[in-house]
Amino acid sequence: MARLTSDRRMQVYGALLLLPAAVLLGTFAYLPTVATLINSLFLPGFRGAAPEFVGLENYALLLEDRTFWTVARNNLFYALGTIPTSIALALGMALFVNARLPGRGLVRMAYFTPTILPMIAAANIWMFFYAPQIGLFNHLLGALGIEGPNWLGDPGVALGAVIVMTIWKEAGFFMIFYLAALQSIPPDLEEAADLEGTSRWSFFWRVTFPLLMPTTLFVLINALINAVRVVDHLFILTKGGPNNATNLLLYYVYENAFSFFDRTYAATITVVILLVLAVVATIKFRVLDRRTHYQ
Amino acid sequence: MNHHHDHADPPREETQRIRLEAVSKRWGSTTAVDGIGFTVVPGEFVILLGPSGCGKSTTLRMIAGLEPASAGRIHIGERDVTHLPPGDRGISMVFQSYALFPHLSVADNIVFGLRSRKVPRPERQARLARVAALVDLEAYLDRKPAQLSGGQRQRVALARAIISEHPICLMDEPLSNLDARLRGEMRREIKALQQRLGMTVIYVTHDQVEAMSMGDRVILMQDGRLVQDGTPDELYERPASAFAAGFIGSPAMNLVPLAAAADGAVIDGEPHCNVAPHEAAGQLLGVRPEDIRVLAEDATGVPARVLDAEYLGADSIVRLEVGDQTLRARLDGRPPLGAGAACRLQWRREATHFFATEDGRRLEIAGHDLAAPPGRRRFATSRSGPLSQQDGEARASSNQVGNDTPGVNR
Repeated sequence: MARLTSDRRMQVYGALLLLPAAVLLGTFAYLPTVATLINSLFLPGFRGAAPEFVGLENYALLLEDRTFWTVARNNLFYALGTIPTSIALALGMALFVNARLPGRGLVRMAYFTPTILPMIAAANIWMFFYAPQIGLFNHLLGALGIEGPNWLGDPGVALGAVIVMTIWKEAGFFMIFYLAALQSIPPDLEEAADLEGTSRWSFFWRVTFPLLMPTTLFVLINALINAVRVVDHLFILTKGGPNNATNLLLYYVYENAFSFFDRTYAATITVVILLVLAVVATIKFRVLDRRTHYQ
Repeated sequence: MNHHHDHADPPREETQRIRLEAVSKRWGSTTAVDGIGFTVVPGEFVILLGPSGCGKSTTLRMIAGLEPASAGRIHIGERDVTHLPPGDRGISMVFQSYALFPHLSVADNIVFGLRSRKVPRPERQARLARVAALVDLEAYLDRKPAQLSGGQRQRVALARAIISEHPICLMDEPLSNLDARLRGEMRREIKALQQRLGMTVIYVTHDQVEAMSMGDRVILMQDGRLVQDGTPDELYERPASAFAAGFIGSPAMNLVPLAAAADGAVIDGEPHCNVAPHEAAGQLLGVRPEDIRVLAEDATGVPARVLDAEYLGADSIVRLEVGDQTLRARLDGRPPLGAGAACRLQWRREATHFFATEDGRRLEIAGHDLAAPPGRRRFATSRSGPLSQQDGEARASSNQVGNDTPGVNR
């Protein structure tokens, strides 16, 4: 038996330490990804028949699928509608609750509450806000003599209604990251700026915002992933309707896999989502990282 | 040189005078600063000295406007600035942490304030070049603070204070994050800059070495109150209280309680040798370690026993037991005696200080000159020196006389 050198032994030791994480990641992340990729190259076999290899045929089909393009466009609007607004709101709320104000702990908790609520519960609450006759919004509008729209039933406003709810849910979550980052900025930076008569506005743009860039980058990536990960509140609120007006990519994947039982087509859409996400994340890190100051 | 135009312009000098009147700071029931008052004249380097928690930083922050005063008034020149925002007071400040903007280059850090004040770009660049040369940072202007050493960051902070050309600069323990060697270097550099630019500086520190070496004037604080306000000389030579006596000097001044004896006051537990007149009994005697001479057992003086000795190279700190008390003496070179050795202690009359036991205030009492008993002038002429050089003296003192003479064993 060859004696292990201490160097070798350290390598084995290191590998063993990595093993649990590697097993978990492999089993639940990489293996499914590869399986999905393979699946997307087949047509499902019906009644016990073996799946048939068709190459890129699923992808060709996808390009001609008008529903897919509607869903993709919806998702783009959804991302554009939720990400910048929720980040700006999160930053604003974090700045607000980071200042000295009475009942600060209470306000922080209030802002964070939507995040703690399970998505299904939150969506149910919003159902009551949005309900056409008895809903809170239309009730309030009615008091002003305005007849409110059917928030979730009108294809023109349904996506907007879903976007508003998402912002409500996410802003509090992102606020926590901003709050943590704000608290890591030493207060004497602001004092040093104050001594030179720097205005608050100028201090924010010249010091606070640049120092928050790592957090903004992190939140941005997270928000993007969240934007294509939405399934749960569509379940409760709209089920993708009316007429696919609120159908988003992952919900469309779900529909294909479990309603239409077309697993391989669902796999194809998933692969496309993964590719787009990877490209966008790479661009973000490449472009923004260069301008980001890490402490 | 035109870094500072304040010298040429007498009326503006007047605007630099800083005056605090009974300024206090309270948070709830705790009082951090309790009715502090002093005046700083233009061009002066004033030290706010005291242990941590004595209110010196709070006082500085109130002058800066970073902390509102709970009571009292602060004037800078003719203006009452008590309620002015920091940016309108015409002061700059160097923070303990330096407070550099981590994402900005050295150059951008230095001109940060000029940009806030909308100084046009060409002038900004000119002033930057001048100040960078002054603090020796020209080669580092493009670096980020993280790429600098502690001393260089300190210089950036200084440069940022200088470039504003405010006549008053506040410094809050600016050297405490540096290692000992760099600290000595920066002490001289800051002092030289201050004199060259004619700045008025209020400098907070808990380090008596910084206070003694840099200050034109030292304001000693304790528990939010002013203990003593004087030159470093005055603080050392005539401490206003037992606290001041203990705070200045290293090691600290020996403070020992005195007891009454038949013919004067004696050190508690050592009834044979009177060291002060009757009125000093029950009070505290203070003698600086460097003022104590250690002589052989058969000399005149206070009988003592060596407890231990620390050899520091240039000098040694010897701990001595006198009665129930422990005294420290600072002697040149190696310790002359080993642990357990019996010896005698002497000091000059001017070296004695007396403080009230109850409140520590200074008492005007003259101590005895232990080195010069009447009729033994020889002691007074052959002045101090380590024991090894004092053989003759030790021999001569063996035929001592006079029970009532101060400092003589009975």
